[in-house]
Amino acid sequence: MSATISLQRCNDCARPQYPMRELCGHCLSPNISMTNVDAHGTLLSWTRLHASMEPYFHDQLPCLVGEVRLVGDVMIMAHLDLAPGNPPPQSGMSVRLSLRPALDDQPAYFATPEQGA
Amino acid sequence: MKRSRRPYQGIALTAPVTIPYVRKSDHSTTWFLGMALRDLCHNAGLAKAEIDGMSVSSFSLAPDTVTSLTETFGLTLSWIDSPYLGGSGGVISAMRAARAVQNGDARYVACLAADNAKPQSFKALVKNFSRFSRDAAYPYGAAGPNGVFSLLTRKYMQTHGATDEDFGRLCLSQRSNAQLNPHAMLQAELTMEDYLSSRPIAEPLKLLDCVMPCAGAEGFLVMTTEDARALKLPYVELIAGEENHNAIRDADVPLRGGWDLFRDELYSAAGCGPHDIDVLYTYDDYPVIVFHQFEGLGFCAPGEAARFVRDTDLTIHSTGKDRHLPHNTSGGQLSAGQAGFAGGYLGLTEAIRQLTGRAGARQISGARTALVSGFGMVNYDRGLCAAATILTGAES
Repeated sequence: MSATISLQRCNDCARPQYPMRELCGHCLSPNISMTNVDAHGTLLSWTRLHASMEPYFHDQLPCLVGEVRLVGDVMIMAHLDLAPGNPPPQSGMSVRLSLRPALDDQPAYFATPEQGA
Repeated sequence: MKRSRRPYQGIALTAPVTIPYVRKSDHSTTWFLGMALRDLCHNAGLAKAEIDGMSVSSFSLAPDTVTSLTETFGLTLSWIDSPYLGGSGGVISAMRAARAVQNGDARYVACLAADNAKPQSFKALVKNFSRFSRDAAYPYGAAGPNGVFSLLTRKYMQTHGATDEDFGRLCLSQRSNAQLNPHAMLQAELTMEDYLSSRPIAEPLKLLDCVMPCAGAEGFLVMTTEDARALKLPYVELIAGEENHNAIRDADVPLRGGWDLFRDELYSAAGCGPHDIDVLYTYDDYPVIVFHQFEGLGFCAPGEAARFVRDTDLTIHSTGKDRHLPHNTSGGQLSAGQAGFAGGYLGLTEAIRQLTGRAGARQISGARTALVSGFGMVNYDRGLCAAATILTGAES
């Protein structure tokens, strides 16, 4: 289980952070670089959206979105990638994040339930 | 040593105005602000030239600024402010203006808020509300505030066992109040069945958990109590105010908004407690945020808001429950509508009317002390600005 995602980390205080910014939100160091972190996290809460301001999402509605906490207390919003017919997501479940193109062909996080979770 | 705010002394809020809300308008935000200023001067019996301070809250003023408005409206001012604080902006504008008056920077401050509900302006606002929101929230369904607040609502329900019906009770109480407010956008009787069967928007949020965006304006004047008496204006006194920003930094979906962190200082400055509040105005962008305020401001214990709503009459008239606390007596944003940043003013203008005995059919007899609370600015996954003020009616 070596899945990772690339996040910003401060080279001075070693804290990971998200969303991206140009300096460390903890120690204000500008000395930031990208680093691979464990892509496994916990689903904190989720919603099933029935409305969206972007036409891109309209034929995907209703769609699942949630917020995931990774090690290091990083909080990441993500699409929830559940196969049709699966039971609804559960807050507290273990998920794995990965990047795929979504809105405007930009990479976006998708959270997939962990095997056996 | 811990910070300690200096007391607010001798500060009056007066001349509340509401430019009636409409679902859509061809008028600009500037027009709504101008109409509010005109009504303010008229209601206060002040010539426009006597206004020397102005605070303007709006998200749809661009390309103009508050400075542009001095020229548009033909004003020369010694103090201006343009708090961009969303739903906390009414309370905080009043506090800023109070300090300006208390310090002599201005004598008569017009506090104004308006927006004009153009659908494209709302989408542009949401899409580029902040860097974090643009980069890390909007791409996930482009649901705007509904998305973030649905996550907060589910977290609250799962942690504290609150149900759809609990949020429904709140919405029904506000609709009942709105039926006595001719300005309210939504006045039709609302039943629990109507509420529960309203269509899902961002589960668990339903249509009737979401405010209706509309065009309109709210405003009031801030001056010294001495000036208000000289002008023979009915006024309320601002006796305490607190705010914090980014105070809840827990790495979890938050169950509180920050009020609990300044509640003691707020009540201490006002010399009262939650049980002394006769009318309460919370910021009701979503029912769960009202629950956070009931708890954070000490009206019930953390996690107990659902029970509080079951056991308390929040309506103008008591129906005989254990406790009666008139709340959002104008119907709040959930029923009166949300005219953008004017939504943060709604509790203030209504509180001024109530405490000066000018709330008409909505009047709470003997209302003497009000608490008005604000909340705003979702930068990423939570609102960052919490504020609250306590107002008292003048001795009669």
